[in-house]
Amino acid sequence: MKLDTRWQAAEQVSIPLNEGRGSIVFRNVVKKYGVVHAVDGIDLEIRSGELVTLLGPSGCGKTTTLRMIAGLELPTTGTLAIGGTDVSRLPATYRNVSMVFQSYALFPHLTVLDNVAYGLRMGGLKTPLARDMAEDALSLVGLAGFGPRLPSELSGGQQQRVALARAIVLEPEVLLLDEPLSNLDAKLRRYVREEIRTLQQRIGVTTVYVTHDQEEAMAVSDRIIVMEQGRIAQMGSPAELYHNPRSAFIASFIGEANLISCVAAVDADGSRVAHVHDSHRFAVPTSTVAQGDATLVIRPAAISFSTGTGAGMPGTITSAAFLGDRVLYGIKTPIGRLFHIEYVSSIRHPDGTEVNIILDPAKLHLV
Amino acid sequence: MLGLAAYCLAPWYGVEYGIFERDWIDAGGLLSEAGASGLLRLVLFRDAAMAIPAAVLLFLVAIGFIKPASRLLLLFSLAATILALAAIVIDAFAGGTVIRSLGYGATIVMTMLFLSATHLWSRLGRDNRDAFVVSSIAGVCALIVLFVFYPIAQILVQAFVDRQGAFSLPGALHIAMGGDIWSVGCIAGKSRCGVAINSIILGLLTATSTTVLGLAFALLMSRTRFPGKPLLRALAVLPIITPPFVIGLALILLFGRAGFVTDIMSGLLGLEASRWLYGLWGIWLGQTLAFTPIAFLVLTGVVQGISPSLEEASQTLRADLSSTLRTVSLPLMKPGIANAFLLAFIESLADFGNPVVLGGGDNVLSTEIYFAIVGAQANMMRAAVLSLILLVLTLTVFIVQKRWLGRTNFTTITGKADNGANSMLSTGHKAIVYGLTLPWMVFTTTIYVMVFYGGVVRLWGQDHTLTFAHYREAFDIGWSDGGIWWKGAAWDSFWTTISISAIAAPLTAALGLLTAWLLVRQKFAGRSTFEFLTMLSFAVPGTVVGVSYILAFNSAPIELTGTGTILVLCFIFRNMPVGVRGGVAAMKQLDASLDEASLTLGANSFKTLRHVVLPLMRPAIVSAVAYSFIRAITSVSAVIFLVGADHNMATAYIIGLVENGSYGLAIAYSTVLIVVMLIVVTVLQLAFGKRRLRREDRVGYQPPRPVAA
Ligand SMILES: Nc1ncnc2c1ncn2[C@@H]1O[C@H](COP(=O)(O)OP(=O)(O)O)[C@@H](O)[C@H]1O
Ligand SMILES: [Mg+2]
Repeated sequence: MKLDTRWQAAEQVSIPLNEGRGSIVFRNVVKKYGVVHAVDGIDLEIRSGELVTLLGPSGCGKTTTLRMIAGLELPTTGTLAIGGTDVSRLPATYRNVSMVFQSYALFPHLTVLDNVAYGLRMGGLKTPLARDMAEDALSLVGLAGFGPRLPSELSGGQQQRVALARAIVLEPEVLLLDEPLSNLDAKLRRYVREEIRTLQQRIGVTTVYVTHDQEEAMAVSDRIIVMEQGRIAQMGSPAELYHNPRSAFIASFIGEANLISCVAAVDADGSRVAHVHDSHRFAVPTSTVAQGDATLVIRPAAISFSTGTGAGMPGTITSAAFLGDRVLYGIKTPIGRLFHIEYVSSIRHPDGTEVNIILDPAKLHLV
Repeated sequence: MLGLAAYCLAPWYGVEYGIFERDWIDAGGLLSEAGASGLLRLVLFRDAAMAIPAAVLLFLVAIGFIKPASRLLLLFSLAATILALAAIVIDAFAGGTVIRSLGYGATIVMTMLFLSATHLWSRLGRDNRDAFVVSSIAGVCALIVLFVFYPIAQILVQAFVDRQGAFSLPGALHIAMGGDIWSVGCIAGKSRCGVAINSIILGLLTATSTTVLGLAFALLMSRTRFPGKPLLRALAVLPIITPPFVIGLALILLFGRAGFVTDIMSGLLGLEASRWLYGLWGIWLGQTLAFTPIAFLVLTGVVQGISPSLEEASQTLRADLSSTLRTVSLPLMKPGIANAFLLAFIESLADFGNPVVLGGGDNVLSTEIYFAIVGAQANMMRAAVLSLILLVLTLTVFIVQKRWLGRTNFTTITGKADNGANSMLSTGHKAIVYGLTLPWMVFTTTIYVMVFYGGVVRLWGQDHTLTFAHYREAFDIGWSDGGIWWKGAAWDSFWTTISISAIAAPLTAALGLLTAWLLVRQKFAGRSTFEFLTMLSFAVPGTVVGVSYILAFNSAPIELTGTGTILVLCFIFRNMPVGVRGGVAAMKQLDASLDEASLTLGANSFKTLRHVVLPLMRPAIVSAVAYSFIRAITSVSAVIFLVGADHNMATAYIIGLVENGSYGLAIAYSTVLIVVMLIVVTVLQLAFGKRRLRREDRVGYQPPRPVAA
């Protein structure tokens, strides 16, 4: 009894955009668990060969989105297409999509080689051929010769690479990675994420990468999709998100920022400004917010200060933490508490120092 | 395309073939009216009811060829398939002039229709389940309905049908309200109590004593440095492989009128040998011996589940050992203790072996049901009414246990490695625990010594010379010209028991584990109801199952009484919950992402089950098989109603021996059963029990995630 062919009956719905291999299109996709809207109506397009990260705080629906691409969950409503084919009702077994799980999910009773060959064998390939291909995939991730071991006899980083090999050996249309670095120690993370990126570029597979770590997201992605409460908050390249955050949420999530509530206004000369507490006025030339309540985003890089008093805003240093290559200052100011980072090797301004703060208008944002 | 065609065609050819076999062998040819296949019935005998399945089957084959079938078409064929199934069922129950039981052909046709219905459902793509999952869910449900609920429904019907076959509500009420059931005379010391009251009193007594002893043993095991722990573990396992009435027998050998202790007592103190053992007190003693190990196993989990850090916290807050136990540990254990109590209560209500051996004049519900059926005036109505009462009692307790205790579970078993150790008992508490457990251990050991001793004594109470005569009588082997000649009286029932249990055990384990897999890994509407129902069948007392099976499967459309099949079915559905529970526990240890990984790698759910889940579940499978095997061999209550002339089971045979007073033979036979089970279980464990994962034994164990995952 061969079951899989029946799914070829899935209707070929032509969706105008993105019909390339491994392209992904979400059209108003909703996933409900009972009353919880885990994913609450998202539209997005991922181009063939792109590496896109889903970024957002815990519980925002990243994993659910990823699992819908994998076919482990089906959308409650909406359409999902992969490579131009509507797969909204197609279970995981019949999709050409591979996933690397957060826990790696290596089969503990199978050797590394059999783990990698598993998908090929399930696809009906003869064992010797499957093993040859698995060997190749293992060498691709730098684990040649590890085939006969059991997963439990590998380190965390090696297990991770086995999981990766197991996924790419099937030459999937789409590669999915759910927080692939979360079980590695901090030192290994940077190294492994570079490896993943290099491998992805080499084989050119469309990749969706889930993480809650913005630094990781910025380091590996072509594009980042920031999610918040089951919706897409903003998507764009890392630089776009950093320089043009569309909301306070994005601003605080991508890079570090001081957020100060303010009122946006346009001055008589047409320049855009932000008023804080009616008493302070900052020019924000890049602002796209014309009027009304808003949030002023002050990146640490926008702040500079000198000791003593001066033309800028007065402030008092309330905390200073030495972090090796930089010093983190907390500063009390009339518009609220700000933090600032100085890349120096010792604390130069102890608590209580009175300072004069200058904000660089070119580096301020209003959202 | 080819695969689809093969998929759809192969089963249907199977069906045609099957139809031609309907009742063929026993009815002597296809052309006779009774022996005809469905097709021939339609053509030759103008049995119009046969047209519906044929039409639907043909239609389904046609559908199989249409590749991108539209939703509407699929829905329509699904409806047609269900209709055909319903038609067959209705025809079987009501149609035709002669009610005939269903043969192979009908069974195969129905199975195929059923499979295509589930297959069509999964093709509708309502959810991401494949045909295997849908068939499994629907199949398990159908089986449970057919072999658990349908028989019980038959009891419900029978309870209101009097001897003349007429519906009689007053009759039922008359039985149900009878003084012989509800009288409380014994409390006032005047007369005997009713059987239901006896059952309840006994249940309360047994639940109390087993819970207290079980708790004491659990504390002894995990909170003291008691040196005899290995012995304790062995003693805890023994009763599981002991047929339930064996302890009763041993008690008779000790305290009966010709008993060992009775003799000594009358010699020393001049006490008259009395029949005190035969009655509630005796049953209580027997049940306490039999069920304390169960309470012990349950409570060990509870006692060890208390996080050591809580107790350590209490001690750093200046509580001493004794007040820590009183103020922290015991309150935390309360739900667990209540759970053990209710479990023991249910066990006691359902127990048949001890009351039948030790009951004497005091009957309880389970034995009263038995006597209503096998007694002089086989009174089915009375048996059915009593069964209902017993069922309502156990189910009430069961539901209380699930609903009330299901939520308040304080035990703090976390995945985290909790270092630190549970605190020891204080000296005072230790004295109590030792005082309770040590005498009891001695007593239990004596009982088992008695079991072995009783089998090698010529005639208990009169002639204590050692002899193997009983073993020889039961298990003699001779040589005749043809080969081995099984001369002993017990061989017949022995081989029946072994083969029926050996057939039932793997099936039980398979069904139980499949159900567990569905429960743990599949989300579907009504999942919790499904779980509740599978567990519910566990709470149905064996006696009730026995009665329900004779009522349900004694006549068409499903006629099974007296066959080995009914015994196998009975074992499967009685013991399945054990497999389910073991499977659920084992499966929860397996990270779900293992299954999901397999699915994303292109395996369907059947392949996933076979290549990933089953290999990782091996220890659970082995224990499920072993446990079902043991329970099949040792069970009495349901079996006693179902054995037939051709299929006598060991336990039923032994009960017969006891009723004839052949204690020596009975005990010798029981001993052999115990030894056989011990061997089988040990071999199973040694051969298949180990999982080959080398270093890591926690399968798919996920390291604690960072909080913001
Ligand atoms: N199987 C499930 N059943 C019910 N709720 C779920 C399930 N899976 C996820 N959720 C809920 O959906 C939301 C999104 O979850 P998830 O996608 O796992 O978030 P993330 O991966 O971004 O942390 C959460 O509120 C979570 O509680
Ligand atoms: Mg997640």
